[in-house]
Order: sequence, then structure tokens, then C-alpha cells
Amino acid sequence: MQVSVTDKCSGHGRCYTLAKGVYQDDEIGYNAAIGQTFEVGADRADEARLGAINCPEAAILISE
Amino acid sequence: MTIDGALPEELDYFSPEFNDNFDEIIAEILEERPIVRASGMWIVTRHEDVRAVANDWETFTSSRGTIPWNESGAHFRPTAVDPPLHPHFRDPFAKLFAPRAIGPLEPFMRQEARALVAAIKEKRECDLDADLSATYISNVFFSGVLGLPREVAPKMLELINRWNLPPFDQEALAEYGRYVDEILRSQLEVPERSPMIEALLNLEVDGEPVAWEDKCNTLSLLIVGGLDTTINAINQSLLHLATHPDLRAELVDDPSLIPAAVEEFIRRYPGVVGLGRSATRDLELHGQKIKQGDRVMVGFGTAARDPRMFDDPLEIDVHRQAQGHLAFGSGIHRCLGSHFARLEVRVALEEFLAAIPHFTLDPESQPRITTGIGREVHGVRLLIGDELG
Repeated sequence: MQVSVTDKCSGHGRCYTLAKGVYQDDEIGYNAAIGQTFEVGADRADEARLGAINCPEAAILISE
Repeated sequence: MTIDGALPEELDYFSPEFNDNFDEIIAEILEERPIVRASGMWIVTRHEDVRAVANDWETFTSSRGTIPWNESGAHFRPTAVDPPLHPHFRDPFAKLFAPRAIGPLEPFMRQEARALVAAIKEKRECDLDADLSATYISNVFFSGVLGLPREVAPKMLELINRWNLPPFDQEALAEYGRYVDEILRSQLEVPERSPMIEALLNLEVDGEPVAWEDKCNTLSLLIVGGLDTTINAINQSLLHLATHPDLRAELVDDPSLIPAAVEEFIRRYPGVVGLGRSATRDLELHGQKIKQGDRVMVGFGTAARDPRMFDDPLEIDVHRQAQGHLAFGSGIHRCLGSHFARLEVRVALEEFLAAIPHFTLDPESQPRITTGIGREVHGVRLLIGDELG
């Protein structure tokens, strides 16, 4: 699974609150991986999806 | 305005009918109208549209004030400025309100909440504002985080409620501004200021200190953003739990569900119905012609009930998979204190439910719900006791 964190992130913090194993916060409370695309293994796929569907800005894109 | 008949062409946002039938009318609007005319403004209602409007600050400017229905006053910062000025007023506070900065405050909050809850348990009844929410938020936010004198908070709250809620007393808004100025001035004499006030006094734009008035406008926002909003969230949450014993029992049995409940309470009972923007050009949205200069309310609170996003939106469902609501706003003006607010409400509920699992609404109590920029409940009295279910 590929996860992309787009610049629509505005720091709601739902992703790293609900899915700590996949997403991390930066020092101002935004996703620490804005602008990055990364691979998530099958063991973390549900967690990655949970973070993405809880983003109020739809800032996290997932392609499987 | 009736809830059985067709919606009128233009709603009266300030009418008792709107206030009394708010849930039904908003549900109907969300069903039928993505954009609706109300008391001289447009309200954009649905999640997708709210997000699009909030993120298009060039077309929908905040710079003419964020009170939805007019451009008069409350030009607070950074909420009523757009880029390029906006980050100069917001960024200095961003680190201070980030989860990793506020997380360490949890033990202090818990201690404050625990003391108030113990007193309530002893008394076996409580007036939510006086005995818990207003006192707790004044202690942890106003005094604890802003570092302002605790005894100043009640007057700030009183003034805010006079201009923020019907009948929107404009003189109270002016007086609020003067009082904030006075309080900030007195901070200049204080030897050790809080990091928040220090950041505020050091605000700069391109190396030049910002005007005193703009520092005051920034403090005005910090206070109004953090005081009444979270007091209301605690009132709404405990009123809901007083009248929904099954949910209360579930949270008492499994406190790990409380964070999800907090998210649902904030979504279902948003502190802000919507904030104002002005259109900077003529445009068309869902077939409606919006003219340059028209006032637009971005319905953050209505979007949080959009049935396209949330099944059964008026239900508090702690098992909802997707809770991604816009009650804290969207885009560059997203509520900077949202992480702090969530923590305050969660800690208050955790402490309350741990000490007081059984409580009901006092039958003599008449909670008053009023609709302004927010939708607030005050005057909630609870009875405490194991026999009360």
C-alpha cells in the first residue's frame, strides 16, 4: 500500500492520534510527512486507512 | 419558518423559531440546499463545499471580519487576516498549541478537574458553569496557559457572552476590546509572563514590531477562542450524558471510549455554527449568484452534521469509524487551540465519570440554548447520586 500525505494537511492531528504506528506529528502539530509518499506493509494497512478516513481535509491519499 | 412546510427563500437566523428548531432546520437545509440565504448572508452548509470555501481565501476573504452577518468589529487576529499577513500572527503560537507542547499540561489539568469534581460529589448537585466548566477552563486556560489573572476571567466571559450571543450587544464588544487592552497593558509590568503572552508581545511583521492595537486584537482572539467554546463543550457533553444513561454507562465501564465520545460531542454540538467571509468577486455556487462584497457564513458546524459524511449525524456514536469533521474549521484558519480543547474536555469528562458515574438533569433546571456564532448551552444543573440511575 502506498500512502501520500498532501499539502492539504492543516494540522487537525487526527491521523497521528488514531494511527500512531503510521503517522507522526511535527513540532507544530501537522503530519510530519507532508509532500511525501511512502510504503505501508500489510500489517499496518488498516491503521493507515483509519488515519486517512478520519482526516477532515482528505489530505491523505491511499493507493493499494 | 416551519419544520413541516417548505423552507422559506430566506431564513431568519435570529428568530426564536430558528433557535428552537435548530436541529430539524439544519437537517432539512443539509438535505435540500447546499447554500441558503439567511438574515442577509449566505450560509454554505455541506462538508465538501465548506472545505472548498474555507480553503479559497482569495475568493472568500476573512479580512473584513469573521462575525458572519456583518463586517462590523471583531477584526481579531490571526482569524481576520489572510496571507501574506496571516502567518506572522499565527506561526508564533503554532508550536505552543501543538500536541507535544500541550501534552505535558495534562497532569495539571487533571488536578484542577479532580478538585472541582470532588467538591461536586460532596455537594450531590452542581451548576455546571459555576461548579465545573467555567471555573475549570478559567483555571487551566485563562490562568494556566495564558498566565492572566484568574479573577479577570469572569468579566471577560460576561462581556464575551454579551456580544457573542443574542442580542449581540455592540457596546459590549467595544468594552471587551478596551478590557483586553487594559489587561495586556498590565502584563507589561509582570516580571514573568507566560510563553503565550511573551509570543504575543514579540509579534513582528518583516522585522518590525506589530502595532499595539494588533497585539490586543490577537489577545482578543486567544481569549474568545479558548474560554466560552470549551466551557460550552463541557456543558453540552455532560448535559448529553445526564440525559443518555446508556451511553454514560458505556463510558463509565470503558473509559478508553471517552476520546471518541469527545470527538462526537464536538461534532454534534459544535461551538461554532459558522464564521464569516466576504466574497472578493462575483461568482456562482450551486446556481446561486454571489456578488462581490456579499457576506458568507462558512458552516463548519452544519458541515459536521452533513449526512453525506456521517450516517445518522445527530447520534453520538462512539464506534463511528470515520469522525473527520470540520467543527474546528478548515485550512489556514483551522482552530489553533483544537488540540488543547480536546485535551481539556477529555480530562474533564474522564475525571467526572470516574468520580460520579450516576447523575441526572435536575428537573427544576432549565438549560438555555442560544444560537449566535456558536450554539451554546448554559444554566445546566445536575443531581448526583447512585440512586439516580
